[in-house]
Amino acid sequence: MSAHHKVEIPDEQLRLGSGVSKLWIVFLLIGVVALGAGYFMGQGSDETREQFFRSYLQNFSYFLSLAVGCLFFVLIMRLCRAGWSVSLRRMAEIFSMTLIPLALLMLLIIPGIHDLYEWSHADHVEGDKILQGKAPWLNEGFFKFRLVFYGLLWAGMAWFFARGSIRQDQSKDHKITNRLEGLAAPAMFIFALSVTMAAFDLLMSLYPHWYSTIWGVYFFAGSFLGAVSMMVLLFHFLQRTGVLQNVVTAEHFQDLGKLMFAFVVFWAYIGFSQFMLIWYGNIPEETMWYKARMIGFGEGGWADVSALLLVGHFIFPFFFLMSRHLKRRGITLIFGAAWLLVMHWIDMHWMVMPQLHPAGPSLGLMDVLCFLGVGGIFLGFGLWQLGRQALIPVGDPRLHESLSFENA
Amino acid sequence: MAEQTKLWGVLAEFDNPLKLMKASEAVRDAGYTKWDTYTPYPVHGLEKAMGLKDSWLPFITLGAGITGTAVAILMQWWMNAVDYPINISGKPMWSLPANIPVAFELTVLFAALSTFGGMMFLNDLPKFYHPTFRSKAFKRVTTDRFFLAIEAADPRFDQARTEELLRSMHCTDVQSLED
Amino acid sequence: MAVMSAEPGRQSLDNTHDDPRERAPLVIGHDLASLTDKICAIVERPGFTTWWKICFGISAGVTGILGAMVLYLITTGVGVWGVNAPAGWGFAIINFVFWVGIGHAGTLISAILFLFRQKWRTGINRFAEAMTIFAVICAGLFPGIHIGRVWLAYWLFPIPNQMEMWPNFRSPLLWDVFAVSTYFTVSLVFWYMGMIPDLATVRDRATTKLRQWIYGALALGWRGSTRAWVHYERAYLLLAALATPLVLSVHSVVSFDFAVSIVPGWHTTIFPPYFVAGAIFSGFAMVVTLAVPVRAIFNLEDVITIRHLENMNKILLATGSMVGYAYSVEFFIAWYSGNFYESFAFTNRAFGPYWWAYFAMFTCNAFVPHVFWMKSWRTSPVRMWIISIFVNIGMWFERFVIVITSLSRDYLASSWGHYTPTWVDWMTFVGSFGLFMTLFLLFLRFIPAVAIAEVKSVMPEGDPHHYEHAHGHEGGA
Repeated sequence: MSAHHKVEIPDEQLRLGSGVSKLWIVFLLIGVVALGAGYFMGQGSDETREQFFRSYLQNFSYFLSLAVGCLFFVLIMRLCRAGWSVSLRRMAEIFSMTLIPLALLMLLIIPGIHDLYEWSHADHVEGDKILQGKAPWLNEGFFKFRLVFYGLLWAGMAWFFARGSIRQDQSKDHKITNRLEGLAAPAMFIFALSVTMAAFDLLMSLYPHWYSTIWGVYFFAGSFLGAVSMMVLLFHFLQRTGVLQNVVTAEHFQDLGKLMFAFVVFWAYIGFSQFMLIWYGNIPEETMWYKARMIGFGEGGWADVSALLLVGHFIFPFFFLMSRHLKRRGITLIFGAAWLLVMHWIDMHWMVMPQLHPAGPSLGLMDVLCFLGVGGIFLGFGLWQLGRQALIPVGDPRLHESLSFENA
Repeated sequence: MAEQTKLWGVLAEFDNPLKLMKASEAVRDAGYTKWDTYTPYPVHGLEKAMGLKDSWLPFITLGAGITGTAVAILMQWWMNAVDYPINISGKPMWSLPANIPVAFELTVLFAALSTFGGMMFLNDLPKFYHPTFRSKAFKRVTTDRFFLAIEAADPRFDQARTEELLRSMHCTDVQSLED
Repeated sequence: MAVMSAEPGRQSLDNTHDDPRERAPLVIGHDLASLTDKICAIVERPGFTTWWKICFGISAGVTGILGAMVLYLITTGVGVWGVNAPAGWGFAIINFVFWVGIGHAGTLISAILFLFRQKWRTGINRFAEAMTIFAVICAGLFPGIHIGRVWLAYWLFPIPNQMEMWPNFRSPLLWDVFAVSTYFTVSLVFWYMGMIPDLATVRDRATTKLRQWIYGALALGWRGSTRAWVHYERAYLLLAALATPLVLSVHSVVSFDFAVSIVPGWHTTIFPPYFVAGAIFSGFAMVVTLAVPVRAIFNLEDVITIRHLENMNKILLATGSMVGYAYSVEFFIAWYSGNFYESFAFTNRAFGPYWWAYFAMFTCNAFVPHVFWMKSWRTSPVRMWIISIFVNIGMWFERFVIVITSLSRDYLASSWGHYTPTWVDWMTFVGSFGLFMTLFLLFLRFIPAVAIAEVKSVMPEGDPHHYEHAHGHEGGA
């Protein structure tokens, strides 16, 4: 670490260019229009309603996972008093703030509860002892309350940590760093529990009879992988517009690539642990979840998607990201990050959709509209916020470490 | 010294890593090839100053790791599905999920042992004799002194000129070593 | 304009300050030579000190008990233990998991913290790794003697035998054999490789021919050549990258021993990461338990600083919280599953005949470490030592709870039972501590307990840039 030379960066390197800073309106517009179109098209029949809310839940969970992953990035870097990642942290802070619009978008699940969740149908619960037993947790009122609660909690946490960092831009007060680092520890605690519970509620309770204690960790593993991949793409995109030159360097990209590699492995480890234990135990009430995903191998069934995830979400990126040179070269890392974001989307699709289309995946207009809808609002809000601040935490006392950081 | 001993090279001593680094750059730029530096701990940046290439050890590790996976999978398949098939808890004779843990362990085992072995091989260790060990001062190389040695076998080696070069780089001492 | 510059450093004996403008020093008041002198003095001292002889005598005596118990077991049979249907797995498995878990901290410090560039690891990694190896030796002992006919232990390995049988690779117990033996081998290689430069240091300082020969042979002719350092550092990085998933896999495989079965309380998908977190938690507690006295006895306060200890306690807090997370999720899902046997298993743990074990586990693991939210507890050696003992106890009880409560109360009430360990069980367990301490004391006496070369590379004096400025200090914690 050679932090002895002063680093000076011109201000225009740290601000979004004027062309890009208007882009958010376009994204936001696309998002609102696509989502509105999807919603109204969905009102046509029971079938289209179900399709809309499924697609919506899947894409909402996808972008939620990216935002939650960014929040984790902020918290873990604070917690570890990390120096190397300071110049990357602002991006994570801004995109964790998308939890504010996502908290609102979460409310759109509420009108779809009956289309999505079996446990919300009184007639189903009546004849089902197990669902009756779960009713104290899985009932509409408490579920809605929890959705609002998660939304407020995460939006609040993201806003709090981002605001502190942004204030420091002006005040340069190093005590802010101390305070946020101290608060990151309890925040991490709350984060872990709330993300786990939300993953149980949103995704696991789609199969109300099924349960897996590792589910929250699985959701988290994919989230952080997705968030880091997204950050790689965003930084490369911004650098193409001419900013952040010599601020975010090949050293940072290599480290983000390492994190991607690590979480590819971690995701596989968690996924394998869940699969192997259920496969080995061979109890029908557990295996049903995987059974739905292991039919139609070679015939366009969900087994093909499972195989694709094994190869595309683990084996290929594992070997691809192993190389130091591929991580340091822009174009190859962009490819890897984009690839993983697609795989993460397929993973979400694979979690949510087999119930609606048991025979195999069938992508349609609703999937596109919901992706554009949530994605547009997500990106639009993120870019809007990004244009309002410096692109790196200029007041952070550890910034010089990040700027002069080199991989040994 | 005995009659038939011949000059191995010259050894320069430095009292801090910065001087050694500067000297390394000078020696590298002077075009020497058969030379080395010696430090008590890995000095960051010295390999660049010496113009050394990256280690290709990772390829040994990768190769050994893949071999380990293959050995483990083949072994389990042959032993449990071919040579001695037996029905255990209704699982298929050839059940890949159950074979992953052992495959993983053998991958790591092969890769780790080859990494260590490969490191030893590339470094020409163990080697219990080296001309530098003749120097009394060199005993401090594992404590707090930094050394640079240029071998007589180097095509550019010329005792007087080489020693002069080293002295100009602020070394504390230069000595010549017999083979 | 954004202008950033490093501030000049500051040195004092208390390096636990949290000023984000500068990194705290990791070594206080040493230069390269004095550091070597200090660490090497421990192994170069002629003869044995009194405290060492006393400790060694006690440990060796306790190891003797272990030997006697093992001999008694082998000559008499597994009946001398308390294991019987339905609890066929008693102390042997509990102690196995306990010791393997302790072993995990060494690899965490040497490999995972290395990959995370946590420079403070250099002060403690050597003896944490040593501890790993000795703990794995203790762990390996238990399944070894549990098999009953120990002379047939080679059946565990795929070695051709007279019955022309092969091991069953679909059994998680066989995965254990591979996982633990790989873990032991790789940890040993990693430890030894890290030691080579320091063995060379001891060799070069040797005053007697014998020492020069022995340490010279062990150092393999290492002479600190930069061409060698390049391969060496790459090898170190690769071994760290291999050891990191390995350490996760080992305790995951140990958890598979339980979780692949369909015994209530065992068959749950969070077991692999939960076991890993618990293992690291218990291992770090053991590191604190050992580090605090070692540091006091050898006056290593300037190398293993309060900051090192504070960081370890933070990791204890973090992993303790992870364990608490796993307890909570398990409990929630046991209810949520709607599975009668699952929820019974968990109520039985908390309120059944072994409630005291559950109480000990929960208190020691999920509550006690939370005192480390307070800085005064994180930075007081005496207090943290006491807490670490609690954690050691709690983690042993965790394994007791998992193994015994589930086995003694499974599906059929007619096959319920009660497990009571015998005095042989207890004495074997106590004896394993003797073995552990004996090996550890030998290590302290003959091998540099701190990785000297690694510490040097993170000292300000180790950085060439340090010599460009009069006041440049770069630590990093």
